[in-house]
Amino acid sequence: MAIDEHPRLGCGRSIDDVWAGIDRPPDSHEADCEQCRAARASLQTLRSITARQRALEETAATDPDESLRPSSRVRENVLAVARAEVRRGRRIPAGTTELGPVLVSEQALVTLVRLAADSVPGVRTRRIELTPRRRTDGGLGYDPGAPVLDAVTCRIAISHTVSVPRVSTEIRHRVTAVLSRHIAVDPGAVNIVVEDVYDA
Amino acid sequence: MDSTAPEAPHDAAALDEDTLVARAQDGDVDAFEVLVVRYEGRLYRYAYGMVGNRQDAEDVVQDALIRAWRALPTLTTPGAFGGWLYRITSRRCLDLLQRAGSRETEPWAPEEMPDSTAPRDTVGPRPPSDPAAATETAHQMDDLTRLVHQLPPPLRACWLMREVQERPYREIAQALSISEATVRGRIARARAELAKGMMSWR
Repeated sequence: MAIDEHPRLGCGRSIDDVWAGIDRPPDSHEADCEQCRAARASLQTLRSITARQRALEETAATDPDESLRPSSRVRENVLAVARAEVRRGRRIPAGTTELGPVLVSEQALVTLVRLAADSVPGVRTRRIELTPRRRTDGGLGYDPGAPVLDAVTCRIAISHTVSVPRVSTEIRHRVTAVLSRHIAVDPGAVNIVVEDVYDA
Repeated sequence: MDSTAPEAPHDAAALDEDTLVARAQDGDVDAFEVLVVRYEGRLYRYAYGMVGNRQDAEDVVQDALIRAWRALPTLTTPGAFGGWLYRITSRRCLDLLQRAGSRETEPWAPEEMPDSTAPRDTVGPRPPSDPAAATETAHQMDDLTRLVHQLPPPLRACWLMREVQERPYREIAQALSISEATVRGRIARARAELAKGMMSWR
């Protein structure tokens, strides 16, 4: 469809011109020109209805009118897909039994590390990165019986009320404890990166 | 050791967005759920304004959120998450409108205005308590919704993201792969078109 770049009223002024002066009283032309008066009235109505739409947007999350929100099916479907596709990543040997090695998904290890670090007061864990140890022969996978990780890196946000050295020590302690106690994985180095400080 | 294990959603709901995004990037579905709850309504109302009906708007939002989940590991700046969701949603809307054909982009025609007494299937306000003012406001809101829907989709996207959703110009520009100056130009054109449409009601 063709839309004018700057739609003009019959009097020659553009609607943009009228809009530019909407907050001042009408000038002498606008006061006398029927089209400019109509354009000003329309723009003022447009502005007030749009402001109402914005106000509605603020309260829509709690509005009783269900039509303002998608049906619950949308969220259910999205989360069902997300759960089904959780990126489990590589499998890491976490000990050996007489039946063979126990493999744990990287995703599961990340979750354990996150919960351990998050249990330290004033810490919000963000991304967790596992650095697997390379095989001594340079191949892929893991040396049987050797440590599987070189490092665990925890990116965190901390409360402004806590001390970085103190929470770092505590995170190292808890991460090492949870990994060695539950699944016999030595985390190697536990690196802490403070990304952000929050107020609370 | 399941990722959905001990963390209760109400705890996650208190977290800042960057933390939630980082966790979701690591595959934490609970963190992603909080983000979905925070954004699904806004994205739905934006998509509704774009595509004009509930079914398509829900499909767009569902599809956009699933795409977002799958692409999350590629998002380098957690702080850009909101704008990134609007970008994915905008593209889904514009694709859908393009597929639906040229009918959607015809100029507003007064004779095609639905009868205002017809049952409403619009996202609109519930009227305030004064019945006369309420009717007037409800009609104006419905009429504006129809006028917005008659704008060409690229103008409509700019108008809705800026004037209703209040997203920053820079973000809208990125969402639509255009310059900020173009965003401002499109909003001015949208405003002029809407004002023209409203003048012809009189």
